[in-house]
Amino acid sequence: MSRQLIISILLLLVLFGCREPFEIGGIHEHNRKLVIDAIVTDTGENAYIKLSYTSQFVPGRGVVYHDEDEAIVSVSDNTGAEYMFTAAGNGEYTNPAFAAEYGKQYQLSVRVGDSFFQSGWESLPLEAGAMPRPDYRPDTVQVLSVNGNVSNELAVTITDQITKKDENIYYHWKLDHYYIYDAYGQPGTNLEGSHRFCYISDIPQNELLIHQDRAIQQFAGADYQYKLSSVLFGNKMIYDYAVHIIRYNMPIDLYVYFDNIKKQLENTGGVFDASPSSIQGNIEIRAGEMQVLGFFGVFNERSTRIFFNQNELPFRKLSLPDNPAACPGHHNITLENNCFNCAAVSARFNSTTKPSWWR
Amino acid sequence: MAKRYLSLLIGFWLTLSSAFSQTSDPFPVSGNFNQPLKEFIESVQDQYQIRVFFRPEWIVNLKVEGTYNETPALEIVSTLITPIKLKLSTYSYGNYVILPDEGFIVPEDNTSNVDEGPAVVTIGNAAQAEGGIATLNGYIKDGKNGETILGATVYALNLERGVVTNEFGFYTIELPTGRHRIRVSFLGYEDEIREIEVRSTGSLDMELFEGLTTLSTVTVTGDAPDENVLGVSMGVEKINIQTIKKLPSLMGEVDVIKSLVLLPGVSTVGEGATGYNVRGGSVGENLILQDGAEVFNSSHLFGFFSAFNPDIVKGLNLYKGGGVPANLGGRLSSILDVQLRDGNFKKIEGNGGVGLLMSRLMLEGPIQKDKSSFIIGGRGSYSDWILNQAKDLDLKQSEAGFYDANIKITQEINNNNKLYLTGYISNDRFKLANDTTFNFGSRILSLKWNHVFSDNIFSSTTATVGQYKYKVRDDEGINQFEMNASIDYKAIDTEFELDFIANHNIVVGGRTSLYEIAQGDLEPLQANLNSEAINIPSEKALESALYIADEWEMTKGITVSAGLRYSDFRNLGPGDVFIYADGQPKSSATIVDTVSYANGDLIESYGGFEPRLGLRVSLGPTSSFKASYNRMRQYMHLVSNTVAVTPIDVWQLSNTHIRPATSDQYSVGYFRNFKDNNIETSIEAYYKKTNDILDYKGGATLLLNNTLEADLLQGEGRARGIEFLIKKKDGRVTGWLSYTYSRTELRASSPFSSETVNNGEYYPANYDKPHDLTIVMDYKLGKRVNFTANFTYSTGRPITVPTATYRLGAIRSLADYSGRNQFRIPDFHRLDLSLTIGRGFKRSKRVKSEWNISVYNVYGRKNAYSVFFDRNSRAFKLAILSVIPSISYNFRFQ
Repeated sequence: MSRQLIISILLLLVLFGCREPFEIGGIHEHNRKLVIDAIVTDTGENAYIKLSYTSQFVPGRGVVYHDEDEAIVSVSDNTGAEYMFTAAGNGEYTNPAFAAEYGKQYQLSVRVGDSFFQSGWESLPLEAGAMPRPDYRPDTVQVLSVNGNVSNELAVTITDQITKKDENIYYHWKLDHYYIYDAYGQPGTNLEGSHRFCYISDIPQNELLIHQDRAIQQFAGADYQYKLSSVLFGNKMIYDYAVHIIRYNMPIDLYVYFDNIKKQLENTGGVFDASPSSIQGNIEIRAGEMQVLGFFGVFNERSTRIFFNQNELPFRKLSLPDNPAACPGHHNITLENNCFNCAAVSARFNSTTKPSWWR
Repeated sequence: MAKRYLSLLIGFWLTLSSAFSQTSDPFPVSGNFNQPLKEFIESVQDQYQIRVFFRPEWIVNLKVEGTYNETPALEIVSTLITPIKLKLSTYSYGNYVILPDEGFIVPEDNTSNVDEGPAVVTIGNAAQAEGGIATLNGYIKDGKNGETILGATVYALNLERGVVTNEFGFYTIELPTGRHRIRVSFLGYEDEIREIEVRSTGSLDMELFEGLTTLSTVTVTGDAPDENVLGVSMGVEKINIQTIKKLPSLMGEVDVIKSLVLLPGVSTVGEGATGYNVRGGSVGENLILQDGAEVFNSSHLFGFFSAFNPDIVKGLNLYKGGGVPANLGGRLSSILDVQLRDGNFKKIEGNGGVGLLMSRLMLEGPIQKDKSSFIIGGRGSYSDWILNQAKDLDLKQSEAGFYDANIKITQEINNNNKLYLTGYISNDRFKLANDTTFNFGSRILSLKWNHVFSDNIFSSTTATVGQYKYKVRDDEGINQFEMNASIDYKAIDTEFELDFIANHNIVVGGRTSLYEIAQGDLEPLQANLNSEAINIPSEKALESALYIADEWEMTKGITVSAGLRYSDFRNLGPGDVFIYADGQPKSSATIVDTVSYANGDLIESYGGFEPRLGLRVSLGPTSSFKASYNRMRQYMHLVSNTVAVTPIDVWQLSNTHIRPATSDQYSVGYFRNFKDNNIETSIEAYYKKTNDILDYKGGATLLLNNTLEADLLQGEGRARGIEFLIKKKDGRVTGWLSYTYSRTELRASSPFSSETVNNGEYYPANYDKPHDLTIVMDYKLGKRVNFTANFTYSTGRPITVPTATYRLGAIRSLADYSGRNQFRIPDFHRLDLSLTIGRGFKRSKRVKSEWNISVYNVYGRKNAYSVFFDRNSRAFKLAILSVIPSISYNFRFQ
């Protein structure tokens, strides 16, 4: 509620106050830092290692991020084995055969030019991961519009069921959203009955999902629902909407790291906010001048998917506009006029063929 | 017909004559007189409610003798003063001035005239004389309302030394037996000169009367060293409430706390910020006392208004750390001692004011004339009406307001015993639209007993109970909750002023306070998954101190002030203490054991000496050099990781994991007065080293945190500065200019690099503002019109700036920051003006009033209140106070 007090005061003052940009003098040329975003898991299915750089905001150009695709990336274990990860583009490095094992410790090594970085030794948390048991429910959320108005909107809230243990468990979730787009008017789409569906990944929610489940002896074994995310109700739920839920168990030090990041996201630098700072992870510089941010985690991982559509929700039923007699030129293609060529969408996942995992 | 006409004419003439007589031969006196002219004038003033302004030393040798029958008093005065080339002039009806005439010779100020003066007061008797030294003590009071005056100077002119009245207006001075000339003075009052014959120890109460408004033709000047040069203490600011009331202020509301910021060495992080910073200390390092009772929140409405009612305040003493006496302690940086008025012992009076945002009313008067008095005052805001005018629906439904009330009853039981009962209550509430409601407030009750054991021993004992409490309530949505937190304390202190030894002024005393801090209980208002009850166990501690201090006049030019304070702190049960694993950063996940303590068990104790040393070397009648050292200890910490503190920030007691903080401050200064002490100048330099101050880890959660120590670090700080002050005290134009250059840096290290701030290097504190300039000018345009201006400038406060962004997992834009506080927001400067027009100055008027027109931030400087960064790291400043004109009406009735 300290946060609420602060926000309330600021909202009141903002409504009365005057907000204007100003230049902060003395900020030197940006010395970019390497960002290491690395998770390896016990199953290897949803592991990822991504390398990129910090970027400075350039007026008129916004922010342009650069990935690192020419690093030498490997994971070593305490038996001396070393597993190489190869570049897969977009700063990602993979090794499909690698899966972390219990009882071993792992260390990430990254070499970029003359700089060499290593993480600390990490191992899988003791508690084996349990399958997530997600659920969804109809809900309303408050949405702040660009003109500053707050409104209540219909939404679907996704939860995960957690069973309390007799040890502290630290969870991290990653959610991938998908929906079906009916691109009737465009050639090349898959015709399913009278529909031409494509299966697209939705824009990721800009949120960090972590949770600490504290061990309380008398509650061991009890279940509770933990809210993960809310998705606004809309056209994307007309046919089917899918959420791939990956649940990680992680050790305490990385939970603290993520928790600090989460607090940082809430910090705007105002007079009632704590002085922010760079969040240092568990990776250190061994050689070279370049600085590093990020972390290396060895997590348990389980995942599942849930599906829902508007027929399973108690909201008003949406319908797409009538199929057009002819689709206009590409400048007038929108999501609403059914002429959208999903094959041209730059999405993380984009397929005109129904994925094998889709219900 | 003619007869009737003649009657009318005679009647008219008699009436006219009577009126003329009233103006040309007023104030007849009758009786047999044999008294000094000064006393004669004073009795005529009382009898006829007139004022005669004069320099007492000019008429000290004149005496009214003889029998008079309906003789005009002013004629008697004129007759006496004319031979010595003085004249009586009429300023206005009821106001007269004795002025020098051509050929008048200003008498020398030396004791050679004393023997010839007839107005000598005899103290004691020869039979009781002990050796050649006697003690003179007594009270200095305001002659108009009977209130005691603290900080008045009682100065032996012939000995060139003096003392200052204590907070109860009581003085004690050692004098050799024989004839002395005593001058009593205090800012805003006419000096009182008394010739005394000291035969043995005795008492002498004296009264001072408010000085006349200084005009160009009449000036009142001092002719002896003043308190800033005379006193041993340095780093002390004594502010008279009359000075504060003249300063321009936000919305025309006099603000006692904001006036402090105009002094050298005192600053804030920004407009509207709660609290203030003194010589490189955080807000929580300042102890605020109101008549000896602790006040935890010094402002209303998030720093926009002071918690102290200016109608009730008598004066302020701010000890900035260089000269904190041994009887005060508990905080590292400063002690603000706010003294409240006792009330008028002679007649019922009141005053009040109506402003745009709030109004106030105060009533005072005798319960038993000259024996007991009361004073009661209250303020309330009606700021909601402004919010209701807004078009925005959220603002219309919002609330913001406060009220506070003071009451004080003073009872003089006899000459040796006096009781004071003081009460204070306040409440703030704030709510934005239908969102969470915030309430916070204080309740304080204290009883003080002053006792004069003998001519050499004065004591004061105070018992206080107080509470600061806040509540947060959310009635909307699914996460309904109510959270309550509070600080309760009970304190008792006693002090003895001893005057046994010549040239020594010894103070001995002790204080003990029991604190109970409930950091928060959160209760959901309805059962749900997303809110669970949280209870942070209360903390309890006993903080005590014993002290002894002496001010010793070693020689005529050297005075030493030495004090020793020993403070003791005990953290008491009930409570649980977590034991953390070795070799790992403290966190809730690394707790390996819990030790429970029962109620009253000793959990942890701390203590230590706090020496206080001061030296004054007189370099002449108008200059002195001073040096001081003091050590302070602080056991109760205000934990805040925000730039500006909020009213719901956490107070944390020292415990097993949190050590007390200590500071050592060294300061030197040179003080010089000019033009008969009308102009004071000073330059003071200080260095302060602080250990074990609380800092916080990155991302710390401070509220409702059961393992708060895991989110805190204890670091060190260093502060240094130099303060310049030049002040003009008298004349048509008065005011001061103060400039401070200072630096304050902190360092927070940990054995674990992930916790260390700024790689273990010093960084600027949030309130580090190297340059701070204030200019205050008060210009008396006339008897009823006053114009005041003040200008402030300071370096922008430090901030931590995002220098780049990056992506991590699902987060598309995460900021990477510079080192802590490596950049600064734009500099702050502002000009405020105020015009006060008084009405009803005639003595016969029962209601006096004044209009105050002020303009805050005259040229509309958009000073940054808060700084934001968007997701592209662009900086925005939020300015909230532009040009704010205001008008308020203040009245006084009797």
